Amino acid sequence: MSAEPADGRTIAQEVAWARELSLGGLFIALGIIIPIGFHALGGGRLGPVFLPMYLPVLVCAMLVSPGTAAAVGLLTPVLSSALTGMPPVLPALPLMAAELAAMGAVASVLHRRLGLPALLATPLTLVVGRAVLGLAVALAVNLLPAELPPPMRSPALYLIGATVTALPGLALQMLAVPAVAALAERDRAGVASGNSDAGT
Amino acid sequence: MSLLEVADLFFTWPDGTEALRGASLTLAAGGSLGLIGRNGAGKSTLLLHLNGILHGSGAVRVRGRAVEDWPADELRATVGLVFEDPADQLFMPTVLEDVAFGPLNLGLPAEEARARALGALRSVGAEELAPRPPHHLSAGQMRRVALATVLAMEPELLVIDEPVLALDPEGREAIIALLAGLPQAKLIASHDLEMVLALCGEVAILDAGRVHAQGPARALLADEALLRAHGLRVPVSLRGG
Amino acid sequence: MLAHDLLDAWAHLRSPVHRLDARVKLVCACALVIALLATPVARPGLLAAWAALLLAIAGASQLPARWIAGRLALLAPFLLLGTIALPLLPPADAADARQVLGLIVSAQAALLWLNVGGKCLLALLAATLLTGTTASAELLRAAGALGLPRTLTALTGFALTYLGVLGAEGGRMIVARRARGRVRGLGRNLRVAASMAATLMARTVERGERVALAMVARGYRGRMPALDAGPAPAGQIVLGAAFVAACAALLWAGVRA
Repeated sequence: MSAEPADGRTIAQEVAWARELSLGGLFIALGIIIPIGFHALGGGRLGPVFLPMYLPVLVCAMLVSPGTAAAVGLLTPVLSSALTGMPPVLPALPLMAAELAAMGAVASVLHRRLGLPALLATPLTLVVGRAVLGLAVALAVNLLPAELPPPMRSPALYLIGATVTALPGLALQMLAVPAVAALAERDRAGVASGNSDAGT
Repeated sequence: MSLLEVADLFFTWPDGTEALRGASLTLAAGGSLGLIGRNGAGKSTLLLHLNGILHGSGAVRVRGRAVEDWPADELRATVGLVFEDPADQLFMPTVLEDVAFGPLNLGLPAEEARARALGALRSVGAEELAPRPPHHLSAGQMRRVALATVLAMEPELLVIDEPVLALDPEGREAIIALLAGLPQAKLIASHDLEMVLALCGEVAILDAGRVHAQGPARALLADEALLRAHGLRVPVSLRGG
Repeated sequence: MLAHDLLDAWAHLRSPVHRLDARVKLVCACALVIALLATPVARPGLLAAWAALLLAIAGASQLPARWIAGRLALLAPFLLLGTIALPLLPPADAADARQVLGLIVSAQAALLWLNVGGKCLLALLAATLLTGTTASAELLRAAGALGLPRTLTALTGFALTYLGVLGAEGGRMIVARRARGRVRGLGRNLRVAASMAATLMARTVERGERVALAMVARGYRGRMPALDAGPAPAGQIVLGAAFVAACAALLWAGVRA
């Protein structure tokens, strides 16, 4: 039911570009806020185990292009660290930034370019994320062996340890991300109104 | 020739919701039209057609030319749309950058855009807010700045969705006075019928995607039967007489 | 709420640090942090030198000590955890072992922890001083002027702009939930947190749509426009360059010592 739009490039395309920025920026903010919320609700216990920062980054990746998703994955931990001190600059920040940026790009490619449903794309992305984390740790170990605490000196062991700790979080992502992505994509039909009435 | 003419506009959302079913209205240059109707009538959807963001079937003509035939930049400069929630429109780090966003996008050089932005802020009485982050402002201040972001593009037609929503009485009065003083033609969508009465010469009643009546504000807003039939109530100031 | 305390809370002061051009400050802060992070484990003295430098800057900035301490306190759990875990790491050999408060601690591990913990704390201090003395909008513009790609500046700008709004939404949800009684149990807390996060994300997607429409309605064509600031005063540029050189020199001297 649409008439032909004006002007070479379509309005829909312009809205799509604008949406990349707005969604990306908003979800970076969520990536800072949601971990704080988890902390407020559960004390220190919910945070490190359940990886709350991963949630908005992965959901956002399902909604934007790979480039934007990678940028969101990179900027979220960096801004969060600068504003709240978490993740700490060493050793977590570079590792998380690498992992999240890679996951953002991969999730977006899998879901949006290759058309995989979120239910499948999420676990695949998480696996890739762990792999990137392992690579990053291996790289760090080779570059700065003296700087690392003993547990980190074996990348394989570290990776296994980190993954076991994070299993609840990974499980949460696998359940929550496809659900929220589905919700979000359904909502995209109802653009105009500020309330939930479609078309007030 | 009217400034704005909507004729038989139909629009269905991708999920199948029929939002507009043959809506028609007109607005003369310099005039002021209130668009009223119950929740779900299609007001916000209709507004998005006026600057070309949404495209339905039927005609939307600005200054006699179909919206599809307007170059996008010129159309957006001519028809300024102010959204319901100012927080959705203020997305730059400072007020000045927000208000200059429109002029810069229209291709104006930085100096001129800055001058326009300051002028627009002056006209809404918010010039001193220029360096502040927009979300640190009060609700009333944000509404003024949101208005300025559109005024900076020097539109002929101001389309405003719920201009005084969630404002305290003082803030509401200030915005109404501000809008009353602006020379541009205005199309205001709102539930606040007292405000519509104060600001608009004409009123159009939208219900289930169609305009059921358009006419002088005072007359239509006093017609209890008509208003009730479309989920509305006569404003207090016109009752009991 | 949260955002107001984090950003621009004290940016309006007029200390010498505040009045420096944002670009100069950003370059100096980056130089300092890079030199800080490059400090080898075996040079705790150098770390102390960075600490002294940062404290001097903190003094000059006139930022309230309580506010700075409050920001640094965010690292307290992390630092505490690491310190408590220290005795758990066995010493490499007899020469490595030290007695502290009746516990055997590995000197190597302690030194390492001092280094890591100290760097995190000092880096956060540097970030706090930078954000405390500079309006976030100016900082963003400075980053763009110094070469950060437009997409990244735009994304960061949106994130900072909406931090307050979204934080307030999240805060309201938590308050509303708490008004219905305390949530007990890790499992229940997790469910509540996850469902709130989901709701917040869905609402944010809707908001993202509306913001995109507002951008297009004001003529957005794919490139974020920018108002430009003038060049930084020459004196400040010289000052900044001197500072960077001093950091490099200090690092070099400290490593060689």
